[in-house]
Amino acid sequence: MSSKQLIVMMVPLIVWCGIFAYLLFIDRSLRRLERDDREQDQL
Amino acid sequence: MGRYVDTVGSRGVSAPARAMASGGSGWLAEAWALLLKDLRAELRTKVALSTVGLFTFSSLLLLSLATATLKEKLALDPLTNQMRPAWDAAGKMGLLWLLLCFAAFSGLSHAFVHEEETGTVMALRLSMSAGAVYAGKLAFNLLILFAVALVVTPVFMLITGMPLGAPIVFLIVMVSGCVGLAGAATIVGALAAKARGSGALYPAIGLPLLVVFLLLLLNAANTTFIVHPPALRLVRDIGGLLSYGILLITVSALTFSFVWED
Amino acid sequence: MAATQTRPPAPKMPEPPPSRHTPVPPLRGAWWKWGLGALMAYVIYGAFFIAKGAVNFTEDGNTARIVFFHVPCAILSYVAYAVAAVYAILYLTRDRNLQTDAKSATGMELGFLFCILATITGSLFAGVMWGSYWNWDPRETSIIVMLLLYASYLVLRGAVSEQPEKRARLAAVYTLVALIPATFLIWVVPRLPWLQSLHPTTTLVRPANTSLSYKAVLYPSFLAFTLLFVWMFQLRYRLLQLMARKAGRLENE
Repeated sequence: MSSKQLIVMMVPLIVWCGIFAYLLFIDRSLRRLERDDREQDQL
Repeated sequence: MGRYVDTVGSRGVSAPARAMASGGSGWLAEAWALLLKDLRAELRTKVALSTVGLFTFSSLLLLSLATATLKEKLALDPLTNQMRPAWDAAGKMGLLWLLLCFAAFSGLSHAFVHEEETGTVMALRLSMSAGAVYAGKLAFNLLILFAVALVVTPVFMLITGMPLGAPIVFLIVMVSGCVGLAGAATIVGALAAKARGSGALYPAIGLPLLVVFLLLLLNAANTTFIVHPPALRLVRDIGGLLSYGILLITVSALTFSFVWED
Repeated sequence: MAATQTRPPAPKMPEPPPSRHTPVPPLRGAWWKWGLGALMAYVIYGAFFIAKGAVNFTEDGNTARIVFFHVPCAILSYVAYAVAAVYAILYLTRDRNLQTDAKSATGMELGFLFCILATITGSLFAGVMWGSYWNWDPRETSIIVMLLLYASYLVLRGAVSEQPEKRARLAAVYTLVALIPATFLIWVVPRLPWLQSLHPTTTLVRPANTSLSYKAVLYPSFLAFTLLFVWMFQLRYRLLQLMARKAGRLENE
């Protein structure tokens, strides 16, 4: 496989890794907020 | 016993129950009353008619100026490999309906916005059911649109030289178009009036509905001007246009009460 | 004149139950998200290395690889609309719960996003296949009008943002009314005879004989994008819930 094909493949893969990391980050921070919220309610 | 305002009539049955028992003709009478009131107000002030009419006529003027040389141009028809007018009959009908759509944009929101602006909404809500209000306003918009189309179409045909085709088919297409346009305009007008109290949102919300309508109409227009169209094709294309209007009116009638409640 | 009664006002619902902190059932937790990450990475890898080039496509069939990403986006934008319409009906007729309205709004927002993605990827596809990036071909026209529809919905919501209940009601009605043009756009407009003319149609090329290598990437791609949609839906919905509760708490203080 030529280096050009490799580059073409890397593009969407990198895009996806970026989106995935972002989504994971939002997910976990939301989870943290929700947990803090629930503890606030219980206090 | 004198008449007094009460929901329980002298016969011991509540008024709504009596209305429903009489076969629901109550809403038709109410809608008719609303239509008459709107028409009377309209004939007195001529607000909607003049807005729509002025807009349409100025657009017609601009149109005839802009297309002065277009009418002579010829183009090669790729399907038959012959020269035909560049601006053919279906294209002219499309432009006619574009004009009418803009007219609807400018004038038909008046029906609901006027009620909001003058504060008569509460009186309407108290005196008649939501279904009757919708029917009355729809009829009003339809009548305005019919009136405008009736005047504009002959003038347009004179200016652009659009042929009539088969008269019955032409009439059905125009009527179906008016039904679809009025149906879209009424519900969008209600939503825009409730959302902002003014007609500002009206074009923003109504555009997608009108674009689909125009696409279907252009499809029907293509069939209208064929010389001997197969009946099935007529039913399919013009029926498609009419079905859009009917579907839209049905869904609007079902959901209007949710818009109208407070 | 006896006062005619309008339809009975919507019964005042009791306070909605405290929002569950769990996302839309039954998928919860993080396990399936890691799986989704891996699945999508596989799809991207497979789109280039596993699927062989398809016939009738340019560049030795390599343009077909865009299809793995373009088609799921388009389908998902329509699915998102359907989801939003279902929640709109639920809101209006069943519970008048603002959370249901939040779900409907999330569906429309995601539909908007996926519609943008579908338009962009479709335009790129058309550019590579047929030379010009926009042709006003039936499918392209219908996706643009869908975009307008989503945008109109968001405009309507923005205009009534101060009154949540009214906003929910009007938005739900608009979703349902606009279902008619949406249905025509998805099913009818791409097949209108007037629009067919000579333009190349981007109607879904359904090679009945898709090779196995193609299927091995296409179906996982559908699954991956659907799971992605669910995840984004959950995230956005949880965010809306949190914002609503923060606003409620600020009011009560």
